[in-house]
Amino acid sequence: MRLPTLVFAIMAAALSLTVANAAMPQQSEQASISHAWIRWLPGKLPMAGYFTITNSGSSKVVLTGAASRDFGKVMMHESVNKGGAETMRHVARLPVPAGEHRSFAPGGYHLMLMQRRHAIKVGDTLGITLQFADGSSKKIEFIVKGAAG
Amino acid sequence: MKTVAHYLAAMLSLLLLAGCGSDSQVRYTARNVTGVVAPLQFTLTDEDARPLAARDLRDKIVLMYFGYTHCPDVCPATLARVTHAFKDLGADAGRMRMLFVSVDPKRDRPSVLKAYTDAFSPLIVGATGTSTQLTDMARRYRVAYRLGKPDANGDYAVYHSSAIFVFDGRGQARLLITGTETAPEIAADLEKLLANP
Repeated sequence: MRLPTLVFAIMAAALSLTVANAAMPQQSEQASISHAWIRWLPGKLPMAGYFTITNSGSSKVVLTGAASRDFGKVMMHESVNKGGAETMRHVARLPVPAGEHRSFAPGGYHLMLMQRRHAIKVGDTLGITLQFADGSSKKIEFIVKGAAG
Repeated sequence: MKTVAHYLAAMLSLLLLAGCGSDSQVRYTARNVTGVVAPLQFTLTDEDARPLAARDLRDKIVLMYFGYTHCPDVCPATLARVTHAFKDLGADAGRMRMLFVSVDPKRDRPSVLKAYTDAFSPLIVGATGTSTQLTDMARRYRVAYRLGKPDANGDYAVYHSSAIFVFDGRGQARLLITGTETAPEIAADLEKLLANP
């Protein structure tokens, strides 16, 4: 009698876990994105993409990267000023706690958009897919603004 | 360590002497560096591949910035702020020039520099030089720059100064914009400079 009880308990636990997983929203659904724009630069120069990510869910979301059909390479970067000198560092993971937001804005976090695959002009909208730690993703339309913003 | 000590000493004297110039009564948002920073002097090659020296910018208020075009965030944000400040100044902007000194001459050929500065304002002029010319300039203005390690694609970042040096029409250093000033604050400072030549 004990074995069936155990099996039942395991099955029940597995079931509740599945239900919990189904109820737990994907990170891409918890995150809302606003003010998505790219600063246009001429030629083949790398450009920066900016946006605000807001986590309206009840658990943390973690941004892990981005990709786009329009660029060969997209990286999350942060500009850092140390004693009056500027440098950039690669950001592999950016956690956004529940109820908080993070701004990708000039002089701080930005998407570095490299190796553009076609000509891009001011006024274009380009799709960039943001990737999250749970494997979910979200495609965002970024508007291309002039160099002076 | 000696270099660091020298740098700190220079920064300290900069802080102590700031505001002791002829226009010490005028309040600027940027740091007043009158008599502290070396006058405008350089020899470079401009974005039209012509020689460019300080005397070519005589009678202009010159905003000098060290950067590189493959810098997608901070450099364009700085150039954008100056572009907006120039717009705020209206006709007075004609008396200003921004000199964008690329410390990355390998990638920043004149044509690349020209396309880059033209994307912002016709009042922004790009220039670069040989490594000797750039090293001399960096030493003169006590700024550091260093090329980063190239990645698999040969792309590299450049560590560079974030300050904008402002010189008056006689080539004397007057202000140091350190990076936090807004476009209206920069415009107001430049108006004050025009009024206190």
